[in-house]
Amino acid sequence: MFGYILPDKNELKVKEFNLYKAFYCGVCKDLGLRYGLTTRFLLNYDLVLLALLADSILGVEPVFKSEVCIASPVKKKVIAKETTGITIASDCLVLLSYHKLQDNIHDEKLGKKVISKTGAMALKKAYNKAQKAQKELETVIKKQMQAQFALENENCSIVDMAADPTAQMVAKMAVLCSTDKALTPHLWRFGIFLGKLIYLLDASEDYEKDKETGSFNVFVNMGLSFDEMKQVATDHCILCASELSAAYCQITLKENKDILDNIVYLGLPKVINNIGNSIQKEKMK
Amino acid sequence: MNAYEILGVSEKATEEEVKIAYKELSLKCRAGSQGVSLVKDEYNVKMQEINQAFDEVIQKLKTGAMGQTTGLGYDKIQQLINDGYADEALEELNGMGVLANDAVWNFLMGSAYYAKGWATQATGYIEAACRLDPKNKEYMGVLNKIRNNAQGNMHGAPYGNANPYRGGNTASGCSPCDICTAFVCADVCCDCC
Repeated sequence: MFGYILPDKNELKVKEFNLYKAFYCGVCKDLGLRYGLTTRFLLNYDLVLLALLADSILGVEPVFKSEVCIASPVKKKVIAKETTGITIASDCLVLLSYHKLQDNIHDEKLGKKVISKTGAMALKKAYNKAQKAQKELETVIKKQMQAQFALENENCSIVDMAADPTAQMVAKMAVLCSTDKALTPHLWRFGIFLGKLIYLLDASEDYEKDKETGSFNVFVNMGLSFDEMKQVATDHCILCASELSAAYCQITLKENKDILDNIVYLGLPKVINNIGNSIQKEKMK
Repeated sequence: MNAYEILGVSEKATEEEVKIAYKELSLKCRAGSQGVSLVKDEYNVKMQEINQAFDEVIQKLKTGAMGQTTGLGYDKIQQLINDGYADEALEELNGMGVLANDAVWNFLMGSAYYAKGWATQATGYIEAACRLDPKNKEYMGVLNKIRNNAQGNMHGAPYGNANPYRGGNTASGCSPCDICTAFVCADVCCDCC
């Protein structure tokens, strides 16, 4: 996951913004406690959404504490205490990051290969632990990583197909957010389209880089120019966002609804409107 | 042990019988796991075995029945899609090849892709279905739904910005049809024209 999915900061209330930050720090702290210092550098905003969503469905009221952390050793920060959602988010992050690094070992150049290999080794211990915590997810990620590898080798040029492995992984993570079987289909669909969006946003941002280096990129494979790519990616993303919102309204949310609404109805359109304008990643600080 | 033996049904069992057998087995298995006899890992392995067997038998039943009926088995495929087996349905549909390129086939292809979350892919097939059978309201309804989404209609938007995209096409345009509708509405409201 790559950190595209975040709220539109300008539209958040101050308390919502603080809550969001507290969750971000909460996931980070949990990573540090359960998986060790190295994993904390992997955190990105997409996973915060997962933590918020899971707690929202379960109706876990967030509890805050004030602590110092390595990023801010002097001033105390408000941090959300570990909850089910936060635990799920950090498990997912460790598994995903490890597999991403493994994947990089296959297709990057030598310099990066070494970095990826070192990273994977540093993560090994955390990975073993996370793998035990989320067995089903691990199976799905493993399978989908292979699927991704296969379709990249075939030089796939169908957007839906290229995005499917990522979509499947995110769908599985979304399903983990609730044990309520009645919600599973909605969460699954929410995840499928969220994953697809993340994949497409990432592919559109990497378009120029991939074209130069000859790495796999579905838009390059389709033979699109930059402007065409912008249009195609935007169209796909808009459809995904609408489908996602249709699934999202079927999910009953008990907490943090305002932030989640902001992410879905304001944050997503904002990134989609920005496709092609390289400055995608905003900081939530 | 083959799939039928695992489930404890005969090879001639109907779908209903297989489902009942599956339910009983999984219940029994779950009950066992709570006692001392089966530890959790064992339970998972056993359950996986049962699940696989069930999938296999159901798959066989479905494909087998397909061959027997004289039609193209569209009902079965619709059922597969409804039950959440979009991939299997696609396989069946693709297996039909040139034999079937009619409206129903296209619609089912579209539905299966849609269920799988491949919405863009689905659009093409639904459009084809509508072209081949323009009078079918169901096809048209699905197509309109997808087109609406493709235009950026966000469901349940709380901020009143149902179409939040730059250059969104909701605000502009007033077709003759809209004018007519407006008149009809005005008429209904106050008998003014």
